[in-house]
Amino acid sequence: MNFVSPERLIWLWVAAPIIFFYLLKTRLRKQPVATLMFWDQVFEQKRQRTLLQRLRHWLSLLLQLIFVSLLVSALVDPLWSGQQESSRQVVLLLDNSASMSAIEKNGTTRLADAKDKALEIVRELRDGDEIALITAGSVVRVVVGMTDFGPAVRDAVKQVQETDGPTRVSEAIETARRLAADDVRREIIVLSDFCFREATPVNEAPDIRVIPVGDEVDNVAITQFQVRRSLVDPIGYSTLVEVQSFSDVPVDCRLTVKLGDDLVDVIPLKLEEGQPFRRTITDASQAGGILTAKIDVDDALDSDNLARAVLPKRTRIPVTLVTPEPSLYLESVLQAIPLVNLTVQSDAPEKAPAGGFIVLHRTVPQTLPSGPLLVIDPNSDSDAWKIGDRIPEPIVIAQDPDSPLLPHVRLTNVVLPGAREMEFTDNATPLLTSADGTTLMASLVRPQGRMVVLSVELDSGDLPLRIAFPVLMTNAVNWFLSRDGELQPALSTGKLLDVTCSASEGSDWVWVDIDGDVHPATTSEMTATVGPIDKVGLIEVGSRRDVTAKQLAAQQQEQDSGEAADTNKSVLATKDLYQFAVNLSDAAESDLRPQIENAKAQDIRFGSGARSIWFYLTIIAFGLVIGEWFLYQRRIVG
Amino acid sequence: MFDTEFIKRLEYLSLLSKRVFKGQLLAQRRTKQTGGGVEFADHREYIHGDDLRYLDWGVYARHGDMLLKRFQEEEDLHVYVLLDASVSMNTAVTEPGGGLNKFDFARQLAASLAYIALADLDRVSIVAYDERVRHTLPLMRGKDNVLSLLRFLENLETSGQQTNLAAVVDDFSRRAPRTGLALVISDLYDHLGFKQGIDALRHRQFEPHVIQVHTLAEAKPDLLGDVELRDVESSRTMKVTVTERKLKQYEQLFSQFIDEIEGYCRIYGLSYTRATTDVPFDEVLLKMMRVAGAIS
Repeated sequence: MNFVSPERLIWLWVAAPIIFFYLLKTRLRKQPVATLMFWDQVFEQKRQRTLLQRLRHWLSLLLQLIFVSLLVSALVDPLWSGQQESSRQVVLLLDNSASMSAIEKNGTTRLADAKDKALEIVRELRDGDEIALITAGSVVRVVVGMTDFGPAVRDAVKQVQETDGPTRVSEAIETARRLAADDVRREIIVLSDFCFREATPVNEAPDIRVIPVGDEVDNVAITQFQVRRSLVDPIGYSTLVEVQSFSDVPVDCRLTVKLGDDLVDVIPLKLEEGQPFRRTITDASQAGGILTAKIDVDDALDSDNLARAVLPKRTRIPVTLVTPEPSLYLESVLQAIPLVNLTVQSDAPEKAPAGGFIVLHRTVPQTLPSGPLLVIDPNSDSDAWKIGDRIPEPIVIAQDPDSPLLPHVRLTNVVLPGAREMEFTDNATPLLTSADGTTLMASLVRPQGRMVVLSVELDSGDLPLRIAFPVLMTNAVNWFLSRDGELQPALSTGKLLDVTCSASEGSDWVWVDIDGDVHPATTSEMTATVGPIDKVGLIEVGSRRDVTAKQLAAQQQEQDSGEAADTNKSVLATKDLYQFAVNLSDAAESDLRPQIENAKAQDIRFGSGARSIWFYLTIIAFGLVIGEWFLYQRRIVG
Repeated sequence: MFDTEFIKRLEYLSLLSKRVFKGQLLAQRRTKQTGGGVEFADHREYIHGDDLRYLDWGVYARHGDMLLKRFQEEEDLHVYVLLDASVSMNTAVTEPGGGLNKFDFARQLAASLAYIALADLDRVSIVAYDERVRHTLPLMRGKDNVLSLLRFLENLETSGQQTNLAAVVDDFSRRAPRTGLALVISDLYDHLGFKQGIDALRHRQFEPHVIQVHTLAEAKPDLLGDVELRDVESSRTMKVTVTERKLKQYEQLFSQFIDEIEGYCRIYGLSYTRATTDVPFDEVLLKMMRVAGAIS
């Protein structure tokens, strides 16, 4: 056995005054009495154990000396043989995922219990030990790097907040192993409810000590909630909802679906273990809004009892078809696209109508209009391209599979008669390529707006008669308006979100969380990446300019509401931000039954007890002094 | 110890005893002997040889019975004060600074009772004893002897290695010219038991009156912790650890000891007075007078 602070052995000198005062105290006081006849009767039995009587005094001194010895031993902080080799590198891995927000029967959350236990561990640190803190909920965060300053970790533990995200214990363990690279000194302590699938491997890892928190509690959750616009009904939508029970007993509850404040459906549920309820709810709404699903059940976890989805608003799309002669096929297809307001004219306008685009058919003005532009069968050069001769057998042999303009479109091996050779001046993305490598269709992103060029003579071939053509036109409409097929999926917590942004909105994008805090988004070309998102609710994404304008407008509106008399103030014109719903939608998180069995919570890698030796020494010391006081100072034994 | 003030208080007590308790205290009590007094006591059968002067002729004339008249014989009362002068009475040793010495208190009581007896023309003798009779003041009568009595008491000192009342009574009764009232003033800390001595007095036709003297500290000692107790008489020591529980046991035993003395005296119709040194001696005497008045 070794000691952390052997210099504190000097405190053993405390025993000297104890012995001195003890001898002083135990020196017998001589007391003459008139008679011993009563005392003889009082101590009649006592004298029969004279030896014990003598030893009793020394036993008292011995107890006091043992008390001092134990206290001094605690001060020098002895180490077990396994402990003395090196100081530890402890990595506290605190799970703050959604399931840790579950409220236990004692009224506290699992995270609160885990934090209490984490604080106990921090208190038990010895000199030379290092400690780090990592949170393993939603995203892995190294809250405090490896340090020997316990109070910093203690404060950080207190600051850890619950998230609605998934458990990332496995990733956190890898991070912890990188953080504490020394295999011998490393000790990873996982404080979690172990409501995740890879819990058992964690329990079996040799360098990991698991400390489970929380009991098995029942829960009912909305595990899936998605909405999308109908492909056949311009204003219709479909909602997929899934509800699961994570309880051993059947649960009766009610699912309420609302669009804004309008009730959509109320479904009574009787849920059995392992039998999720799934249903697709269809309805129609042009205005769109926030669709919510709520189950009225009082369970341990609230964040999975409510799910949201954003139903996009259906707006009319003004489309200007510029063509020197009527094109029946093209007009019919464009008019067939839902919500399109088609205007046919022969002269090209200078710019596209707001919220719409221009279709140039067989005509190319000297200056291309600004705004989104669909060019079909161009007959002359422009700033963006130069045309060549018609291609004899323009058969498509390749199409861009990743382009948002070509989903559900298959034109490979299709002959597109009348197609011309084209040479694009800007960086164009080829979408359809012929056998000789000629680009038959391309998309361009100009400063003035997006543009799609299709060098196909519609009247010469069967392209307008193919199903792919209206789909291609619909895709083009969606691409121009940055709409992904009217499908705006609800997100799960802990995930990243990619938002396609337009060049006009700049590259400085931000997102606003449910608390109203603004976070910068990572912008790459035309994509802004936000997240990961920790909390369920609604988030907004937009350019910093738009977000700032909206916040100012909100402040102004708030001021106006405070000044009721002044009603003539102008309201700032703001642009709607992109809105996304974030749900838990994680069956593993909603299942509050630990996935770990026979946790080796007491299996300490270094072979010591759950606490340091000094703690037990102190406890024994105070036990001794209490016993000594009870036996001798109170003079129970006489 | 016996100053002018003390003697004044003795005189006061003497007057008080005559005025309030006339005929009820000490010498004014009649002896139980019948004989040649003037106060009629009872009749008995005439036996041949009796003095015919005491034959009740009136009864003989009316009934023809020959009855002899008996009279209460009046004689001087002999008062013996048996004063315990063992070392246990000297609380100057056991309780230094603990108030009036028990032996001094006992001597004051002895002086008071003797004074009252002398004032009542009784014969008084004082016997100081420990395990045997140490000093004896012979029988004397009349207040003229008060000074010599006080001087005798003042010169007494505690002595001995134990208390043995039985042996003392045995010796004393042989020396006493006749029986009488025996006032035993003692703490009664007799290892052989106080009963033997009192019994011996009773058996020898003395009329014992027990006056027990002790201190408050003896009844409730203020001792805690490790102490070495030393018996001041035998010098025997005892090393003990006194706890609260042991103290309670001691007080219980002492209380039982008091109860035993009271019970003993009650059974045999003896007068018993218990006095602690914190109470003035004259109050103790007044208490005795009151008890005597109540009894009578």
